[in-house]
Amino acid sequence: MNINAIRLLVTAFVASSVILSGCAASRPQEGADPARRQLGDVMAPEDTTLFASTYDPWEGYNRWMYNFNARFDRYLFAPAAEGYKRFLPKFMRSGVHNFMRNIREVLNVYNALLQARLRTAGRSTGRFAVNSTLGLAGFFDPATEMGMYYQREDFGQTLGVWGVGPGPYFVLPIFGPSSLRDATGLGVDYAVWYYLDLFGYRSWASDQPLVWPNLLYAIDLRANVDFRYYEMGSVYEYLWIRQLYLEYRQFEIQR
Amino acid sequence: MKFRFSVAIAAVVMTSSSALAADDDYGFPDLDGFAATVIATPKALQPDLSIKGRPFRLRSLEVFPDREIPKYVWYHDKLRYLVFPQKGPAPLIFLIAGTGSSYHGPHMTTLYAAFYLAGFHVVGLPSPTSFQFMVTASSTGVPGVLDDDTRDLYRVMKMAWEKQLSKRLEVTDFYVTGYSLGGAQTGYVMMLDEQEKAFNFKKGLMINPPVSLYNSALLLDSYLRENITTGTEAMLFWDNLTRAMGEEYANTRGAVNLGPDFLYQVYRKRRPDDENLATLIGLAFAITAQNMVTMADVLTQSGYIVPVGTTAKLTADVTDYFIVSGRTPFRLYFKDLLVPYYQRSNPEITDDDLIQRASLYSIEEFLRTTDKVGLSHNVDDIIMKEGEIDWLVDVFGDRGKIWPRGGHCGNMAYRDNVEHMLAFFGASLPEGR
Repeated sequence: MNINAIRLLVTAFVASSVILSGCAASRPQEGADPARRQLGDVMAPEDTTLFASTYDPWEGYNRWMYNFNARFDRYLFAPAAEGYKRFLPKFMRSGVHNFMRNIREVLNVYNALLQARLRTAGRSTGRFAVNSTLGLAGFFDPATEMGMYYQREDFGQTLGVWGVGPGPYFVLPIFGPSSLRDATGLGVDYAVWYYLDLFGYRSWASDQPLVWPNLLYAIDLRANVDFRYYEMGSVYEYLWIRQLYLEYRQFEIQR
Repeated sequence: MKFRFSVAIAAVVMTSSSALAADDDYGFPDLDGFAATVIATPKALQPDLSIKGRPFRLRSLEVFPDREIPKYVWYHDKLRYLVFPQKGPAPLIFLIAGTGSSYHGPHMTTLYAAFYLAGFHVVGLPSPTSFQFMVTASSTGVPGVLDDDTRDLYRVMKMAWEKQLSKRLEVTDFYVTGYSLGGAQTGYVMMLDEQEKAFNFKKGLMINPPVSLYNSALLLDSYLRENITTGTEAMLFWDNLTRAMGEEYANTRGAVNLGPDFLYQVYRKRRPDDENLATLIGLAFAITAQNMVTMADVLTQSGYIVPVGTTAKLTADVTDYFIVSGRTPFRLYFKDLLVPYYQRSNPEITDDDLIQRASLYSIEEFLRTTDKVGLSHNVDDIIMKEGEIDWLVDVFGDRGKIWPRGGHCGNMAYRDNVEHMLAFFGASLPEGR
């Protein structure tokens, strides 16, 4: 099965889950006494809360997918990243990391341009030029030492800069927390990357056995995120992460 | 507070770390107790605690094999703890995490690194008040009473040693330490070990322990609830906080780690007042209390915020429980969940009995007479009620070290503190750290 077929399947799967999922409340046993402490005991009727006002109409699906991702992460993704960190020396890992960031730089450039952030666009362009040459095809990152620091931009941020709100919260398979806006952005970025196919890298990568460059991209991505599912220490992790994700994206848009 | 977005590795360069020096010979920044608690120790003032490679193993125990774990907490099917083994014979030290904390987190990381570099086998355990411990290893489901919690903890230590560690590690001596609530439990573990002698701990160090869990919890409750009473106020606070942090973040260049260095910079620039810092500390504690309230209620089937017998599906919308438990202070956890649970088996037991058993007062005699237990604390620790530090000074005498500042655990990674902690166990960091 080629990668496009997998992509199509995942999309169909997500779409059907969204359509089929309602958001079931938890069910008390029939005849059970009501809880002793209720909503009315802790808040006045005119009072508000941050969490109840977050727009999450697909919560049933989102929670299901969050949990699916947690399982995927626990049994496959995180162990792969952990093994990668244990067995590959640090200089090789940072080489991979630099390379993967470098091939993504083109997305930072076009998004910074669309956001009319010319300095960021210039810096990212400079980085790409310096790192692709002096940095030996991106394995090293001399640009940072020259003061051109890395700044990630994506199309979700671009939409955000132009005033598009996040829309419904949306947990993506594998990628995790997102929103309708940011998931759209991800798709647009992917399309740009796909059709641009800079130096033929993308088509080269997808022709490799097991598409290993893409797998390496995913593992590098995971290895550089300091997050573990269900380790926050709260039974309400889903709600906390949802809030933090939305705030964090707001930070990124402002930057 | 345990949740960190590590945006990337590179840290913000500290240009003038001595800008806030006090005029005594303790070099920790001149921050008050609230600020020190939130910021903790900037990197430049820590010893070099970096570790090469990944020399640790995550291990797990089935503490109660017959216990049925609810489906929606499948991920806490076993008790997980972290081991940093040395090659060859070495002393072993158990670390006990603070309230609500698991085996990881910033303070635990400091302890793992310091003891590992000093040549110990290090075994980090979650707090009995943590989510995973409550589900997998708590015999009551309502942690807080220190003698019972310590029996649970001691059971885990013994099991970890007998089933797993004794087969892999060569151990010369056993030690134990913990911070915050884990510090108080260290005292209890030392006492229990005197009787049971499973380990014959040579020494134990209590770092920033509460004297009375109840008093400290009431203080932490008040930090939040004296400043915020309604959801509208909470939203305003959250909005201001995220706006301020967002602006600071937007001004950063390159990769930022939202750790002490970033917070220290923000603090120096914005100078938030103590009311805001206290609210933030209270909020972090409320997140812990929120989880404890919910899990204790479900585990003991008390019908407090979740009706008895409720079957929650993974996909269930639990926002209502979230709000109610989020607005349930620790005081009510104690009064409405913990006390009634203990009264089920012993109707005579009173609030005061249990408050006593949740404090160091009930092991005062042991703490006064033992020469194996030491203390490291701060004058300005914000979880201490007036007079409690004095009580500790009186009880520990010259076995207690009281630092002039540092708030609650804020100075744990400061170089003098690390040095003192290791010296207590007769150890030190390698040259050049």
